[in-house]
Amino acid sequence: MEKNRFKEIAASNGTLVILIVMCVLVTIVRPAFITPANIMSILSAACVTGCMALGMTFVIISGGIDLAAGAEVAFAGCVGAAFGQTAEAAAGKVIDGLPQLPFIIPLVITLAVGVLVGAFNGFLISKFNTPPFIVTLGMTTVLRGATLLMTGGEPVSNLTPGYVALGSNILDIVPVAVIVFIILIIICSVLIRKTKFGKDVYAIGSNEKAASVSGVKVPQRKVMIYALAGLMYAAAGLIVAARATSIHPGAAQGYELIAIASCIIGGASPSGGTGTIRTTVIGALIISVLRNGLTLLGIESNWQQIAVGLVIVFACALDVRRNSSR
Amino acid sequence: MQEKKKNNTLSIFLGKYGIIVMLLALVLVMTILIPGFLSLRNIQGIFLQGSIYGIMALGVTFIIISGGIDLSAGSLVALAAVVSTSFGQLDTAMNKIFPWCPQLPIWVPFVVALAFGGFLGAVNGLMISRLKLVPWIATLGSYYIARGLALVITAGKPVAQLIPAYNTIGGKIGILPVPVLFFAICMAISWILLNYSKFGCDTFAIGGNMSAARVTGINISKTTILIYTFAGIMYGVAAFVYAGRVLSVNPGAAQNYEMSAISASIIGGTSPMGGKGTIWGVLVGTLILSVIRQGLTLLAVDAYWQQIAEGAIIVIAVIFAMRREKAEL
Repeated sequence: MEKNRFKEIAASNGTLVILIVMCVLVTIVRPAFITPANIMSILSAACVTGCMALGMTFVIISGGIDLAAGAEVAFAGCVGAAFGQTAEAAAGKVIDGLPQLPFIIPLVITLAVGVLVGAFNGFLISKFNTPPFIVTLGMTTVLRGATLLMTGGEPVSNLTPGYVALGSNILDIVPVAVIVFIILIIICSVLIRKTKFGKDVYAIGSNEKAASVSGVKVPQRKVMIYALAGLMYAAAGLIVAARATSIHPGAAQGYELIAIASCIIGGASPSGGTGTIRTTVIGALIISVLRNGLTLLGIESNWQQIAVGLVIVFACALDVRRNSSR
Repeated sequence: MQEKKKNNTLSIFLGKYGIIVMLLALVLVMTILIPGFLSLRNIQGIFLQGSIYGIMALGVTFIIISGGIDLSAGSLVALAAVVSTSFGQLDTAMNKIFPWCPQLPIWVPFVVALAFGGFLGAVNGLMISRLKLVPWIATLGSYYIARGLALVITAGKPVAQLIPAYNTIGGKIGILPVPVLFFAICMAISWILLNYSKFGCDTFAIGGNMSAARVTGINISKTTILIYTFAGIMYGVAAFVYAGRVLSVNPGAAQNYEMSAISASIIGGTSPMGGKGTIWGVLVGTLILSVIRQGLTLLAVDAYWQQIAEGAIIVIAVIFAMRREKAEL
């Protein structure tokens, strides 16, 4: 009886158990893992791909996929940053002669660009009924090209104090980016659990035809889903730019994989219909702990890339087994 | 009503022969814009440029016909190229990947490229058929793993100072570039396999309707593994030819080549939903891409614009493919 209950808890919180076990294991091998500074660096490292994963969760639950996420981060981040350069940045200024603007302008522009690009992806996918992974793969190349074209291949740097503030720490320990991440988590949780939109996302992912028959406006919802995801990528782009007070056109390369992995490890099914914001966040933390732990153990980054690839494959294989045993 | 029917016949005609019309129109436009576009040297250049992703596109086409996708193609080419050229370095090479390896004849790296490519493809196939992973997820995973392995094996440095025989692989016989010869041979093999073998038949059947294929007694799991293995062998050939062309293989090689291969296949009329595709379509799709690339380069179009154009081409190709699909229903 006791055992069964334990099993039940472990099964419904499997990802959380994995996260805790991982933390304990790394702490035993490397006690430096559990210091406040290191914990903050894990959270901070999880912010960018974590924000992306929040948006990706909506996309994956709806049965889609967005391989352009990384490119969208760089594109939105760079377009916004072009409006957030200081007046002194004469040499590397993307828009010549632009005066120094208040932070609200690059902020709004970044987010708006993210929404527009996402909505365009959603439009291409829903209007023409095209497979999302091919369309977003094509958009990756288009967006990277556009970002390079706009910046001339150079980073957009010398950003205004607003960016500096976003990239700083509160009381020297809590990064502002982590606070932003937490706020976005709350917004996304409410959206998916308490709104009609959230219900529709699950309905589309479980059975698109049934959803359509029961009155869900599928094409319009899909545009909204990808637009919302674009908004989250743009937020990630802001954080990337703020951290270094500069953003490179090649930024966030390959981050889409980590965002996708976070969702899948958290239990979102690649075939759609399942997933939650809570488990996605746990998934993002698992990857961050994995990378941090591997770094503490002195394992080089090429191996880390291999490790993340393996984790995504295993997480999916587990998901398939979970589904077939149901 | 009459009007609509006419429109449908037109779109079906364009669906069948539209790509040839498109290729001819493109060549015509380029010939007008660029003097000497149809010179022997330039035509050789167009075929030469297309040969590597053309060979990859052959493998990718089998996969897409079966209803799958392979996002790892470029990474697998890089890994197969890195591993196979490690057996084709000069005895005197400075950075030998395998210091114990003596100088070997060219057929050894060739066999290694094909065998290792096939092995990598089989791993993709196993993940998809045995672990029941969605193809894009499985191949996205191997995309990262393979690239990571290529970096680990080479420690990030290029594999250079290859045996002289590689010069022949990247060279010419008379007016015929050797890579194009490889492409032609691979095309012939793929054509026979796709149209005149049980394997080809099964590939179409799986992509057309998987449950129907299962009912008719096709071993889906085995066929899927074979399809990805065959694609892997094609990537191996592409890797070998690639090494002959560049003579120094970087672990970051062939980045984004999967995009070109998928584009070539879909422009050539392979249905993104599976069940349809032809080998001659791959040839035409490959040539369309090459003509556009060569043309844009000769017109001195900025490299960034070219990148944008290439991404746009794949998106537009998929949109047209889906409309064609609708028109034929």
